[in-house]
Amino acid sequence: MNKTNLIKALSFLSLFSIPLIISNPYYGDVLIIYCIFVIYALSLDLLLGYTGIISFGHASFFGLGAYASAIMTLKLHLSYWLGLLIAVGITAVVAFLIGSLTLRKLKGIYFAIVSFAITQVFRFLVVEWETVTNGAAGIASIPPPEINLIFEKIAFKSEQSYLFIVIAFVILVTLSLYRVVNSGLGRAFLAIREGEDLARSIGIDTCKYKKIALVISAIIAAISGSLYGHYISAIGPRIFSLHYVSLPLIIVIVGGKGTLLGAFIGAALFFVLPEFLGFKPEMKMVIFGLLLLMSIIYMPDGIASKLGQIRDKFFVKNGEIKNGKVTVRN
Amino acid sequence: MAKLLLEISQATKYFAGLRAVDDVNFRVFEGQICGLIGPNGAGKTTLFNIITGFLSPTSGKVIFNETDITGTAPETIAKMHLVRTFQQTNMFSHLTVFDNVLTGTFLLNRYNLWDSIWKTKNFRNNEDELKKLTYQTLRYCEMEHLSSTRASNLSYGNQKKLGLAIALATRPQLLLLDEPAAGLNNKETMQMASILKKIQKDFGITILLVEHDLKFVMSLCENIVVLNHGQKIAEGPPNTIKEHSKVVEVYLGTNHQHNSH
Repeated sequence: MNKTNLIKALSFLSLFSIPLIISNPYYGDVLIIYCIFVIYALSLDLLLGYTGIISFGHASFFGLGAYASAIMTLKLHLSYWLGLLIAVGITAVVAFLIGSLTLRKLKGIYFAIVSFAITQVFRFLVVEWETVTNGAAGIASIPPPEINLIFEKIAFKSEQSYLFIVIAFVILVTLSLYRVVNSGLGRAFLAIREGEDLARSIGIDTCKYKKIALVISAIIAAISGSLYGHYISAIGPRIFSLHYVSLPLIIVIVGGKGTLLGAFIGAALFFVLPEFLGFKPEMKMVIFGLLLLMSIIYMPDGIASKLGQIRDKFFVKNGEIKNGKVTVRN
Repeated sequence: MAKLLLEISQATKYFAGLRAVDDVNFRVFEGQICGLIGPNGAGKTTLFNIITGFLSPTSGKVIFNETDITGTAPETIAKMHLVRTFQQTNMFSHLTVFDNVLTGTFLLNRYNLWDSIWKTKNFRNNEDELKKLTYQTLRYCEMEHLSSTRASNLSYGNQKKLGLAIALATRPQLLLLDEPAAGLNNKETMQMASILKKIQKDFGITILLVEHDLKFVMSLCENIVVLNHGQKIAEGPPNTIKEHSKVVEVYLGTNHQHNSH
């Protein structure tokens, strides 16, 4: 392991000290919700920011992940981890089917509308399929994840312990996505966003790669949904509502789409900043609304893109060639 | 005699009753630079779209390398090393010049999702190769100093060159260029012509191009096909085409007569 890799590994490990430092359960709670929505927003960023697919239906995958893993653990009494795996699998299959049915024919706003309609189908299904989903009442008492050691079971009940899990997932998802977007696959996604005809002319099967983007994105959304359900321990059909559709969109657009970093910035603005600035609850949304408006007017590409421009101005640019060597940020 | 690379036979395309391409036949041989000319609306781009799979012909066939590729998807055709450029969207505007050309190497990717997540040796070796190839392509097109520039910030002439560099990075056997010199000034047009000649000489790439600029086509192409109202009206080397009565009529408008269909 070289020096840079060691520094990278140590800085990731140091993130796990956060739960140890934060003892106040209130702050723990804020950070857990923040991390969950970072993962949720990252999943949308892959689709919207990198592949250019506008989805108003990402709550389908978030909700499906939450419902499926809750049902697996509560009704089938599977362990959280197996439940999560199955929930992710189910969501991936559903995303593949939705992608196969819609992505070939529908583009832009048409896909967005259909994707929103699909969330409403899910909402309808969970309300009607009472025997499995408890209908409109939703599912309560979802157990926290457990790890089965030989002598005893450790349940991640407290905020502090749950924070460990969500931080681990944030690192896992961010690293995987970072590697994906900096590979040939990521370049295929970007090519689709930039111009489908040109992408096809250089051999990219745009329909296939859009489906791949949708499935990867849905898998990540399902992970965040599952983490959400098992944390707040009760979910209902509201999880497919406009609130959960718009949250990741706002986070990604304000934070900066197609950057990954944008998900962290946007979610911090939405979940962390208001808490730590101590806004009165009634003022919170007003101030946040103003912030949103300002950032969209002055930074239409998002805050992270603005930061990227500043970095390009003062540091080495991506793709710059000096003395026959190419600078590629990795 | 050079090998037959592309054969268009009886290609016809109707758009709601309009015959955009009408029973066109011609052949392109390996190593040639071949030109497709004609006034606006002659059906040149439609024919390009038919060859590259963006449109299916109403009837007729396209044979590339002895394979019938009529109606095959564009990405499949690109995999066979038949690659095209576009008049308008010829680059990925939000990416840097380097990333544009690197994206062009897509078909040379030899690793999977797992390799890229774990950054395996296979991934690193292949990526290094692709980056080297990108760098070589940029140098070849004399664009390496623009490597970190965002494509949308390039001058028009350089945007055209970038479009060519992206296509070149795919390692094509036959390159279809849609108006490579359109909108370029004299100096840029000459530069473009010299790059195209160099490509043909150095890599043995066959080129079929659509162009308005007659001087450009005459100086570059060995064989020229002239279309008018979707029909082929002449074919031959530049000298023959220059004096062909129908071509002169179409371009200079003397005794202009419409063939109505």
